[in-house]
Amino acid sequence: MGYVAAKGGFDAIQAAETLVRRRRIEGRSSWLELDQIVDRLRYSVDRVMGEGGLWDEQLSARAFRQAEGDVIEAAHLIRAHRSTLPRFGYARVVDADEIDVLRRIVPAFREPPGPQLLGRTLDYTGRLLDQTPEDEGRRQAAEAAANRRERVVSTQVSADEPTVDQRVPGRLIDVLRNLDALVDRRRDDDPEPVDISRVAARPGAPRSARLSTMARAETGALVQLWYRNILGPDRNLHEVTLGEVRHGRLPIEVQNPLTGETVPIGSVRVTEVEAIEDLDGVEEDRTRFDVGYGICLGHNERKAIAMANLDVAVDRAAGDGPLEQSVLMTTDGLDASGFLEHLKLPHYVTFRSMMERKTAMREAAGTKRQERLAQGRSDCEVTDVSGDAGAPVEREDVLR
Amino acid sequence: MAVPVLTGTPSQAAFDAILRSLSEPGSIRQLPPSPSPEVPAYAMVALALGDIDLGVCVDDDPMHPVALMLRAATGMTITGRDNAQFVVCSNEAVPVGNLLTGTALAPEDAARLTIAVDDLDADGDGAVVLRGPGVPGERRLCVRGLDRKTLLSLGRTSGTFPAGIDTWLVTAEGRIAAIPRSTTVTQGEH
Repeated sequence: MGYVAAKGGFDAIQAAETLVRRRRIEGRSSWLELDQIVDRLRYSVDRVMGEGGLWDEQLSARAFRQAEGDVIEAAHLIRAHRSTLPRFGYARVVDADEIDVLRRIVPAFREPPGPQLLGRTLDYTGRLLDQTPEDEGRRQAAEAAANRRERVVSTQVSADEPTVDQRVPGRLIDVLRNLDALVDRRRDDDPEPVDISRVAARPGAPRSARLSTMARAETGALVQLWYRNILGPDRNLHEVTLGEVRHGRLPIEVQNPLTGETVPIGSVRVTEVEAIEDLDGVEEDRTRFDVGYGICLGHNERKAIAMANLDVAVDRAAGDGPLEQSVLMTTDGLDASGFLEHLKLPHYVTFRSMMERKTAMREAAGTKRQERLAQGRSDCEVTDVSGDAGAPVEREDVLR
Repeated sequence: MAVPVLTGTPSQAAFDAILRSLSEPGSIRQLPPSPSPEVPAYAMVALALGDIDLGVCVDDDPMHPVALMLRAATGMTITGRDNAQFVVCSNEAVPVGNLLTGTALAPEDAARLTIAVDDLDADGDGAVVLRGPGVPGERRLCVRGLDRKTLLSLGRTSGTFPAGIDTWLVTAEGRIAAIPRSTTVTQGEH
């Protein structure tokens, strides 16, 4: 590829960086605090962590502020920063059943094991633009903050505080499994999951690579690919029902290198989805369902739902068609945006080479026409050019 | 014993100096101050870049205090010289042969070599001449406290490119210059 370095534009590049910094730092309003971003723009912070592949709310907020609200640019900053971080150790593998749910719904079944815990969601809320006057909004926020402090001080535990069973509920798929209503895609061996930050996932990759790729993928790309498979030309998805949609905290545990004991060192919030797929293919077990799995950092239900559906769709397609390639190679936000944005860099050599090819083709065509015309003049027998005089291009040339 | 760590700005400054020294071979950069007296300047590259997936060898001595410090600080495994991704030499007497050079298909498997030297200068008596990517024309580098034969064996002759060893020369004050595997090192004219 013929890219050239931006020679001679050094001053312009420095000026561009100054312009970027000026608006970022000066602004026309007060400085945006990281706590405000973490607290009030939480979906953006979660998306940046998920697509950047690093759990750190403060750093994510910092990246989001530096990127001036551009989620993909912020994820790029986080991914770049992540690549410079040393690995100090590996966490113990945790079972997703250890999730402490903040929200858990089972759209497929009214009375699943454990509660339907609606939690914090906009699913049943009308989309009405809040036009509360700013002063009133500030007053409400201050009042709510004061009430919250009172609640914390009183430390009164509400009678309907969820129990452990409610916070760590069972799963619908266990019920379906007991009813023998599921095909089983679980494997007996326990291979190391593919580390996609070290090895690029390519078609034919194990499921762990596919799931890791989607967990880090750009939300919009997964949603688009999901929709393309529902309503678009690909149609790899048919009957879609969600078995679990969860948002909660998963513990992070490491092994103490000296004592060998497992030590909890914190938790990450994740969104987890299980999607039930109706098997209806000729070669498939039509008496059972299959289940796709989705999980990602932060609260991002759109992404986890698309991921769970695409997981099972790739498995059903079994390498037939382009879906696996689309999932593995076209859903990463940095890959796609990076490739697109690099088009803005100087391509003088690339374009000059394309131009030269066009010129050469014209010259070759011109020479050929000259030869034909010269031949036509010397041979008076050739008068019927509408007959079978060769390829259409050649006829056109003669008629001209 | 507190484990020395590089965080935030010093970490980025170290990364910047290490990367820029590689991209402009033979240019002399300054590492940020060491985070602890236990970390000599020549160990800063390994401290800044090493982690749990890598092996380190200091002066061919598995019990070398710097090796133990690097293991505690980064999680690196202490290994033999022929198996280490980071080879750290506290003086010129340490042999630097028989290191990992990577292969044409996996050049990243090569060792990163750091050698402590007495002084670095942009020119002077006994300077070597560097040529290759990142060097417009040629660049002279005067290294005090490194055996000339060793110096001439660095860069392009350390392996069959793209295999080969990237080397950093570091003074006690944290002045650093690199001779990557793409650089040709020749005798300077006197």
